[in-house]
Amino acid sequence: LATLSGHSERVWHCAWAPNGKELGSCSADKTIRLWGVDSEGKWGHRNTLEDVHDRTVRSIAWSPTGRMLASASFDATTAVWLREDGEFNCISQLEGHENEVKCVAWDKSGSLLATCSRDKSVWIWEVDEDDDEFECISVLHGHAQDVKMVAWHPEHSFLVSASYDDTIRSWSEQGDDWACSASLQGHKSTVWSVCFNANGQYMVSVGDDCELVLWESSSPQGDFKELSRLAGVHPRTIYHVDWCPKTGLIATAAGDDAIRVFELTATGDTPALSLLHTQHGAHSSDVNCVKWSPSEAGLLASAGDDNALKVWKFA
Amino acid sequence: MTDLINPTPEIYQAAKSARTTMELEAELNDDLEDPIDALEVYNIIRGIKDPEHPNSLEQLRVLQPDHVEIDDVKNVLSVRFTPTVPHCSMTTLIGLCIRVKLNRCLPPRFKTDVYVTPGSHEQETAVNKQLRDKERVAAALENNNLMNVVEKCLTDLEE
Repeated sequence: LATLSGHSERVWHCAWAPNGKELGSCSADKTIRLWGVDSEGKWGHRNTLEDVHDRTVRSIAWSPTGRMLASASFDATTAVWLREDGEFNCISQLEGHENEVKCVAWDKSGSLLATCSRDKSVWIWEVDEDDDEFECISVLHGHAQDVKMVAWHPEHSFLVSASYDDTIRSWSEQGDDWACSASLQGHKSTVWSVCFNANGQYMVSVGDDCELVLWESSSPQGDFKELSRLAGVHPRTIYHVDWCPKTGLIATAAGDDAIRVFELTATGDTPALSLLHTQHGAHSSDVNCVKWSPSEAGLLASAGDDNALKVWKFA
Repeated sequence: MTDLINPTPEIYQAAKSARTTMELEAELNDDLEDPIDALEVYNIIRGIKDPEHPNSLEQLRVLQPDHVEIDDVKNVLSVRFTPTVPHCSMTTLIGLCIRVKLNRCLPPRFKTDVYVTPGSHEQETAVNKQLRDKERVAAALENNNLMNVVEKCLTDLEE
């Protein structure tokens, strides 16, 4: 539908605002760009957030109301931007990680923020809603290597983290602190990304082993059971996976420039993933991120090493 | 002088690689289809300087012409390199230098894999995993101290 150019280097990540009318993207060019759609359905550049991060901005996340945007950077900080009268201002820059922050995620209530880093740790921050102050309430150790991504469960209060150590860990509140509730070994190399379906019953993980693993969430504390896996579809690393809350379709972004769309089916009693469509050459270089629109079924955004952000309609 | 990891590396004469008359003609004639071939790629990287010796990667046989494989149609390129000693702690740095040089000199359409020759290094799997992780490579390229070292290695030695 649209190709959005403006970033001067690789686009790592993108995120839809909760209302689906805006799209944010972040890049190795150290900026965050915001894009919007007008009444005629035409996409255009709205805003550039810059001069806060002095290295690559690796990932961004909108708070559930869309009032705040958090950005994780290789400069070891996480910035929080507040929207006021259509303008975004950086109200806080969270420090603590020793080096590159790779991912940031809000929980569904918007009162907790999780970050993860090359320093092997996952941090949980609490948001004081009265004065928009952030306080670190837990530092979680357990991964043996970089943590690539964090994601909150959509219903229960636990989060999962994916790592270069080939494992996925889940973390939940136990007593008065957070602790690891499970370590999942399902991948043979770096786990780059995980996502949940709308009600959180299932989780898919992807990574450098070019496989998708389907898990079932088996307890509110974050235990999982491996259901099935899909290999042989992706010839190169899978960098990102996203589950559409509207249609139940799953999209992957991969190092072979393609975007693929999968659906959940069942072989016998076991749920499994099956390939519906491959968009070869979706970008002219690696695809780093794919995100389904939260408001419009089948609308998909992707970010690539070709500095571009694209909007697709899957029909 | 500080302790070297390999104090006495073998120095080899640089290989004289010949092209056929037809290949030369194609190189010189703009009208002829001239895909990027392994030798061209090798020529881009063979002059990279070893991080601890005043020699090129070619002279130390860390790189060899037939360890470059390229498919110009499928846009796939793989380069394997052989550390001079299996405990070489500079191996990841050498791989990074090769990656950076290739990224700078080749069109971005190529999918490039850089890895150590199987069996040539104690931490082969770990080194290969690091070199394959583009996020780690990207972060390394933003590290000024590391990049100073890389730039020194990329300043070609005088012939």
